[in-house]
Amino acid sequence: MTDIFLNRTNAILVKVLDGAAERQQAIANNIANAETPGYTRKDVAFEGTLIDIMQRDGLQPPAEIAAIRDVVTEIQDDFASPRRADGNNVQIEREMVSLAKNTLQYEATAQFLAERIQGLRNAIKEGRG
Amino acid sequence: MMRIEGVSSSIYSPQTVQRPVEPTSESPATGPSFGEQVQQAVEQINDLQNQASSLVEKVATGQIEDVHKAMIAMEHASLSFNFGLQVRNKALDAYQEIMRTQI
Repeated sequence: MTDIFLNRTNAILVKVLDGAAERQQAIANNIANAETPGYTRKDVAFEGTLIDIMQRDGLQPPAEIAAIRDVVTEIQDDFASPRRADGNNVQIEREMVSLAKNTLQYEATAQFLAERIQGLRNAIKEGRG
Repeated sequence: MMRIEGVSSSIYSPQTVQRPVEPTSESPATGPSFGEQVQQAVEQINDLQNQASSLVEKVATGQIEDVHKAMIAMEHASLSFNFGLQVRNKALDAYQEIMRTQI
């Protein structure tokens, strides 16, 4: 059974929206806690896993879509970034750049998905809608 | 005074309808047939859609930075699809119009 909506591209777009929304939260947390002693900055990394699945050879659509849907987009602690004297590892400039980038990614992806849905609706209505 | 003739008088009488020339092995085919041209057009539209999808995936996952590339590809694909769709609608309307015609 093929899903008219959840094809490969739309599954990817849905996952990217999930991840970007989650990352927006992480960045908001980081900015709010920029001066909190001992705070560990949060991040969401899912693109790598997603790209791996997209580039994997011989993965057929049903399994591929299932794999895309199973990609986790969870907020994780970032222990790798260097800490300041107070034990905080947030760099506010970096967070602002991430915020701008993430907002753009979310908005662009949302628009792509909206346009694809519009295209499907148009096809269903035979262009007479 | 002008004489008004019914349309069925001469030109539309069934006897004078020209039968399409049967394709024979001797007559060389000139270019692709109508069916082949339609198929080519549909395949082109499909290719454009696939190209747009691929670009959209890459922009969404950050493999390509330029959002406009995906945007343009999407609009190109969408425009081609809609154009093809309207040609199909017109062809279907024409067919139905002919089917409704009283002989």
